[in-house]
Amino acid sequence: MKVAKKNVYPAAKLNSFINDIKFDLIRLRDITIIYFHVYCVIIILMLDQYPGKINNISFYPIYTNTLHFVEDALDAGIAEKNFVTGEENWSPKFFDLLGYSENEIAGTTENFINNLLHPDDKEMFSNAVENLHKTLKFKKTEIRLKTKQGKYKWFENTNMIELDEFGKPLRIIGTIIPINKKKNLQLQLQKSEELLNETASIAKIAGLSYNVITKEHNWSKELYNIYEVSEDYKPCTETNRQFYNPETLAFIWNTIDKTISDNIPFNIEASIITGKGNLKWLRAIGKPVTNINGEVIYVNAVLQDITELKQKELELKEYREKLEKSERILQTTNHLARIVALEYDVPSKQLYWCREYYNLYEVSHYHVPGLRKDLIFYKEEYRTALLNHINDAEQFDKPYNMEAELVTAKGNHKWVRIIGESVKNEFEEVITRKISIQDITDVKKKQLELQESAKIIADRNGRLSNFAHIVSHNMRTHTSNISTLIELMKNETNEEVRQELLLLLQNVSNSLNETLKDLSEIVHVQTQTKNVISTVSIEHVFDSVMKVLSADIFKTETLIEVDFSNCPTVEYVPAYLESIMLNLISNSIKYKHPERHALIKIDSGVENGRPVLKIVDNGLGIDLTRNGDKIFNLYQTFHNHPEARGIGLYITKNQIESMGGNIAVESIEGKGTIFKINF
Amino acid sequence: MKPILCFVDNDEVYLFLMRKMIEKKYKDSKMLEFYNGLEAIEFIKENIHDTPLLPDIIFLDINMPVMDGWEFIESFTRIKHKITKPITIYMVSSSVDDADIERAKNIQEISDFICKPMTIEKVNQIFGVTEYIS
Repeated sequence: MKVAKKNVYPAAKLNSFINDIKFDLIRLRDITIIYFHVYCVIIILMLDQYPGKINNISFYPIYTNTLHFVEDALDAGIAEKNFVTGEENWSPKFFDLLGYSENEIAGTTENFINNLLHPDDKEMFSNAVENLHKTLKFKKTEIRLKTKQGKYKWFENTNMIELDEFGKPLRIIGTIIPINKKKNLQLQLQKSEELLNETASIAKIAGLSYNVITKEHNWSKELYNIYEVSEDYKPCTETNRQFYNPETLAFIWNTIDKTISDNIPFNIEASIITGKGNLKWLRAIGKPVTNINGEVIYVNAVLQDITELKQKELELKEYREKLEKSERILQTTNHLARIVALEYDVPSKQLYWCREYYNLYEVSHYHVPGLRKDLIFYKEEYRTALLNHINDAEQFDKPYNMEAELVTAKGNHKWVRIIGESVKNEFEEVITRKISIQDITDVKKKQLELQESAKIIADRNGRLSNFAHIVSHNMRTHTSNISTLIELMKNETNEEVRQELLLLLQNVSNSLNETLKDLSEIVHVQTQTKNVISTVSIEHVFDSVMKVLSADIFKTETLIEVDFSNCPTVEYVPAYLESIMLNLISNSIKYKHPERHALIKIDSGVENGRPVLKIVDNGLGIDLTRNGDKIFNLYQTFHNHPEARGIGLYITKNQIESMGGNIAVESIEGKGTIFKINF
Repeated sequence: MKPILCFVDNDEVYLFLMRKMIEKKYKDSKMLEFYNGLEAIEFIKENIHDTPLLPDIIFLDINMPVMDGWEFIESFTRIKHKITKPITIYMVSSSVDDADIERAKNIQEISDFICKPMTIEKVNQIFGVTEYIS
């Protein structure tokens, strides 16, 4: 850069000079005076001439057509200010560049600074001018000026200061050249670059280039960030080793070698240890670059930091494994506990279920569950209740808990406990309806068994209590008689009467013995629980009963019809079956209707998988509405029959119940009686 | 007038002993014997308007075939309004079952519950009471 010093031409001489050679003189910028001829342009440096003469020549009338031409050619505007006179000259082109016509606005420095210069550029501009005064060295600056449209445009501004012979500033000359397009492009480029860097930084994407020939590594700026090394780091094959463990290093170089030798792209993931010792995962997508001969000369790659992704992936994998394990545990638990879990997702209207579902209903995996659809599995008596529960749960979020019996697709009977609950979110909206169905068949079976045994125990207790009272009653009957008899005998003097009383005492004693025998027989039945059970032929037992009763049957001309074909045998204690049949048949004979011959029909069969025996007679019958509850009680007799002891049916019932069965009676007075034994 | 005593019991030995006792101690009394409740109630029904034949005191056993003591009381209650004669009923039983005693106490028609054996003292007491009432 050259700076104009103190010397200028005197105006008169200059003018004649100009006129002579028909030149226009222009002082442009800081250093030159340019002469324009019609045909040529000469640039002459104005050197020290006429020193000391400058004071009276302050201003040159330089605006000529040629100047305008130059201005137009350079697309530049010019302005100058004389520090001595304060005179200012602003070229029309200057205003033209801002969209103004000549004289439309004031050509003053004040106007320029206050109204045209961008506020943000004012400081920079005044600094530049100040600096110019101090150093006389000038720097090109870029400023924004306001156009007539009110928009700011970029200009390159250059100023120079001219000094007088004493070194005092005489005037300042400035030019502006529009650079708006260039500046905008530059700004755009800068912005794109920033954006690119930012994007690379955010996406943690970096580039590298490996020169196969020179073995040089070239890293993009972001790669330094990724590797966490300072920008001074010089990447090379040797120093790069520090970032990898041996296996990874081998893997990477294998990949690169293969890329070079086979000219193929690659896409790999590898872990690195950064300069700061952090573990990172990178994805590298690279491709070879070949020369004209098809030889690979570069390997270029884009690298992305995928550490977070990888971590998430690992976490996800771990989570998934855990989930799978939990799922397995849950399934096992469900299977072991026999619990079916169903979930109805309210927003999506989706029903979810666990695998145990198929086991519960014993259906194939193609069966799709449905709360209402599955009602078909349930026994009819539970369907309405269950449906009501489902409806109430849907309409009023009412929880439920019920037991029900169902029949599976394979026809097995199961007991289940069904629990329904609604799960609400923070806004009190039902989001899930949970239903669990637990197979409680075992529990229920035990419960029913327990109920049954409780009933048996209660029955047995009742019988025992009854037995105790009977015992005391019957013993007391006899002992009372004995004590009364003895009392009478004590006071009796008449020997004949005494003998009579003694005979009576004998009878009472016999009766007491008889009673004791009965009681011991009953006790025998009740305590003999370990009788041997075997397969007993009913017909065989019947035959031996017939032998015992043959005399009675013959005498009463009783007719007996039997049919044991439907169930010829039972698993039973033989002695019990004989005793039971003997008691029932002899009862039928004993209480035959006086006006007809006894007809007894006996048959066996199977009901609900259990053998039954039915004995039907046409005898006297019993009024069961009056005596039903007492018929099997001890010493209950219903007819004034000399042989009625009131012990047979009591023992029969005891024997049957001690074997876990039961006996039922139906009877119509005067028509006959039916005894039915469920073994 | 001779009081009429009625024994309803299926125990023949007991009936015999009572007969002996009454014959000895209360020669003035007349004794009726029935083997069960049905026989007794039918006798009463037959003679319901023939007051002199009806018993003054009934000794009723509980456990009897055909119709037991309780059933007899039920039947008796149904026809009681037709009987003009006051009849005192005693439940007599070998039973020492509290349930039986309690049940007897709650029946208005039953004056008392007597546990067997029936002794002369008990009969005396009853006669004392009866005489006092009459």
